[in-house]
Amino acid sequence: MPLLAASRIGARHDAQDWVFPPLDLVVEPGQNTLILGPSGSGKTTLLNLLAGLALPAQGEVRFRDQSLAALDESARDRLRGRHMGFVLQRLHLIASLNVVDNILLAQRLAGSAPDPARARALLARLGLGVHAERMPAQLSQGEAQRVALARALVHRPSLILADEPTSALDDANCAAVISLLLEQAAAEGATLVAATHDARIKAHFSQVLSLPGRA
Amino acid sequence: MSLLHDAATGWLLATASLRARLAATLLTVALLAVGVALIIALLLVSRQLEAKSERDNAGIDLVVGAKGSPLQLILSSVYHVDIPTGNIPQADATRVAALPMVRRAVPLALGDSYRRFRIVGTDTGFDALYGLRVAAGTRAQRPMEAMLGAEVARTTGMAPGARFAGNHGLSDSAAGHTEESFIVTGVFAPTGSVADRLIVTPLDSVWHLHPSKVPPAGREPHAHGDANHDDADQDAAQRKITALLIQYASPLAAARLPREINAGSALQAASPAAEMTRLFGFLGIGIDTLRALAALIVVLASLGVFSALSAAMAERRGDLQLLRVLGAPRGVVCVSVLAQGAVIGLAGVILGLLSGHLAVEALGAGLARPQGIGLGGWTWAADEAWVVLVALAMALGASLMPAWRAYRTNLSAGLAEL
Ligand SMILES: Nc1ncnc2c1ncn2[C@@H]1O[C@H](COP(=O)(O)OP(=O)(O)O)[C@@H](O)[C@H]1O
Ligand SMILES: [Mg+2]
Repeated sequence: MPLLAASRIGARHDAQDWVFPPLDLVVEPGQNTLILGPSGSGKTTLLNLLAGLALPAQGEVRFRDQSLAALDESARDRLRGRHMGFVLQRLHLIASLNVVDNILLAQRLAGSAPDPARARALLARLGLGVHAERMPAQLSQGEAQRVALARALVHRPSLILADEPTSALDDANCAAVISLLLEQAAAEGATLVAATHDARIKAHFSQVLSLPGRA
Repeated sequence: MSLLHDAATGWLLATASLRARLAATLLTVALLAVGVALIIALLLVSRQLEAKSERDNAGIDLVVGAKGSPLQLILSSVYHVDIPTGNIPQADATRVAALPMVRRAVPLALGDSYRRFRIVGTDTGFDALYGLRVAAGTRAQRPMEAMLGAEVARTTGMAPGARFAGNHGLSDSAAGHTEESFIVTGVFAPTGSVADRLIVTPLDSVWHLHPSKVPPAGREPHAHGDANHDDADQDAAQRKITALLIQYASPLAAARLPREINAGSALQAASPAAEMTRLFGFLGIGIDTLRALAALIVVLASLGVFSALSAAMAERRGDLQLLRVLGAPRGVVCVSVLAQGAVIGLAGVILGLLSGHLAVEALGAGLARPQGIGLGGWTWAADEAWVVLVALAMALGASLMPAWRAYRTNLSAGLAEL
């Protein structure tokens, strides 16, 4: 059973044109996938559909053979909280929660009991052990992103969705972050689906879906 | 179970958000507390003043005295706070007391004081009126014997056997009767009424001290060498008293007795209940103004809750959206905002309740002696429950709109803005 299966999906914003031509995508467990395309090609839109944050205007998305459109909104919320982790481009953390509480939040939203020991172990693994009690404002952008990675892993999701995880980074950091993402996802048994316009990281993925962008 | 779990998550987010904006949170709580405290204090003070005036009323239906301001007559002869309107012939008083509509009539002769405690010439009917019992010594019977109210005894330290000389008038500075002194024969048990702060002596004492047979009431400041003092030879027919306290034999008397007395030329009859209603009417305007001010403060505090939460919402729009992306159901996001309003509301109300009561207690302690009105902070007024409920409802109400906006946090943008 594929982890994720999208068939003939299409999206429209405000009754405009289709953002991308109807597309199919199958992600098997462990099959790390890169969605590659220029800015405005619809990568974020596609990730929204895969996460159940929006429903496609045509076609269907199935997560572990469960149609997302068949679930109501709160069931999709639960499914996202339980089975998916997110690493985003800019806004990584909840400003009013400290580092550990940000991580534990993912466990709470997954419906499980917070496990501070696991959160701290993950932080230590990402080289952030000393930052556990800090507030997000006291972290650098890169540190905040790694905390977000810990949060994306802590509840043992099967799918990690990453939107432009490396676009703000120089080559050295870009390589470091992408290997960290892949390595940690593998260590926790999660599959990574990342969207980027950054062709530098193409080689790390077993599957690449290219979005053409508009003419 | 999942509901409980969601509520716990919402609560966590709410307290974290309040902590992150601690200064604004505390300011809003303080504002609400001030408003609630003011309302509570006003409530307690006016309730206790009313209860106090009822106790001092001692079931007096009517006061008969010299013509003048009826309020002044009541204040001077029932509450012992103002100068009497004048004196009336004892013969007239006796005639009124004998009417069938009158169950009990207690004469008062006022005008002298000792260390600002008023000396009241009266008969033993006064004891029955105020429920006075002798706590120490024996009841004064003869002229120049005196009974002390409980608070007089406590303040002056006098006990049965002590001697003191009264002053003319109601202040310390007036000339004294240095040639004549009272002897204390007993002390009354405390009643919680104005009688605790009075010195009670037989009517004859006053006439004994004032050979004119006219109590000094109504002509303060009184000086010796007054023309009346020279004709020492007036007889009992010319004796005067200051006022007569009356209890009706039947409620029907209320309709006729005051009118009959006021129709006559020399006397005035005034009802304590009516005059107090009038007085509290005046005071009420002031109290209402303060109350409106306090209500305004509570409204402002609610607006403060609203704007604090709205500002926090604007600041946290990204946070709320991130929460939704991470799988927080709408309910959790909504609860996290509502809980903030609830926390601010509860904290403000509890703080306001405490400080309101504390303020009244402090006020009572400050005003205690010797003309104390016996204010205390540690009693409850029934209306406080309403104040608490309304203030809480307003704080919660103010967070409804922000909470609704949080509930509506749009997911269609999804990851786009994050
Ligand atoms: N909420 C939205 N409302 C209207 N148009 C949108 C919205 N989000 C994205 N778009 C449009 O859809 C297209 C794809 O956007 P997006 O998925 O963000 O692309 P990418 O992530 O590849 O840069 C763009 O033309 C963008 O302007
Ligand atoms: Mg994008």
